Amino acid sequence: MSDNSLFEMIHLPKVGSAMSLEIRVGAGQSGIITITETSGKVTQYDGDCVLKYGNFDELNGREIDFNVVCSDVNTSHNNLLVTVEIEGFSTSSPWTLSRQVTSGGAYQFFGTLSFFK
Amino acid sequence: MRSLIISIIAVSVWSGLNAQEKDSINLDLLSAPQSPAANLLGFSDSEIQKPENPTDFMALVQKETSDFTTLPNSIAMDFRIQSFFPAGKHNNYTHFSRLRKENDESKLDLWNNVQQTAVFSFGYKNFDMIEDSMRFGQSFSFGLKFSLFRGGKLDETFKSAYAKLKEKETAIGLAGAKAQQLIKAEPEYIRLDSLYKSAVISGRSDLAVS
Repeated sequence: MSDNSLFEMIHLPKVGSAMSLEIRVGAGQSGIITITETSGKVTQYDGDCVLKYGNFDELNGREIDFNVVCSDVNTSHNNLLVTVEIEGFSTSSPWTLSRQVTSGGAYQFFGTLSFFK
Repeated sequence: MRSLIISIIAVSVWSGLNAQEKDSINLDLLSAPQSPAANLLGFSDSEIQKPENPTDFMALVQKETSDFTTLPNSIAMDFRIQSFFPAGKHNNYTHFSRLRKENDESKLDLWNNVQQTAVFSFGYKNFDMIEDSMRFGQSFSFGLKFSLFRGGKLDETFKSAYAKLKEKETAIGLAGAKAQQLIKAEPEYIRLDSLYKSAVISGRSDLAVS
């Protein structure tokens, strides 16, 4: 079974004020992560990214869209893997997106994280 | 510790005796063992576990220790240190494939080579639990292996194919981001998204009240 998209609503805690969002592609893979914030700002990262947020009030009601284009550059793997993890408070993360491809294949994963209080 | 020293001496003496029996010089003796720690305790290649990430590592430890209740009779593990660092710490494929300094292609990036190739290995054997063992007691071994040089430069064909791949991935990523925004602007998406969110939020409020 493979999960290749992610939509999560994340309940921000009342206590605490800092979190980090980490997206990474599996070993032996090449991947470009594209993040779109609610403001429309688009940023691209190569292989992995760590985004830090310091104010839950500002994060409340915002959405982070991402997509990851993954390619298998290591011929011994045929399972593309993307891990999404939130640190700073308890969630059901890490979430894993995966997809079986033939050697050398590429695939695009999509996801949206919605934050609310 | 005494067992470890004896093992090292035993391996050296054995290698020396082997060398004396042959007429030619065996240059393979100079090559680093595949897994230094496992070599010292006599593990075969198939017995060495090679976790690729922290999740694999923890799953292996849990399995080998029967859910953290007992010590295994023997275990040998090799892992690439860099794979255990958090994302963003020089551990993606671009860092792995870079042999030369980012700002000066004429110089080898030795520190990056060390970081990308460092493999830590450790082994443990409880000889008392192994039948017909000539040794007794418990032995641990540790090893660290890394390469200073990984060839002169990346194969040009690979380099150019990899650059093209990155270019295409970047373009597909941007197109994907646009598609996401277009879908989110659709009235039907907005309606369903709003319904879904209110259901989740009201569900949480109900939980909070109870």
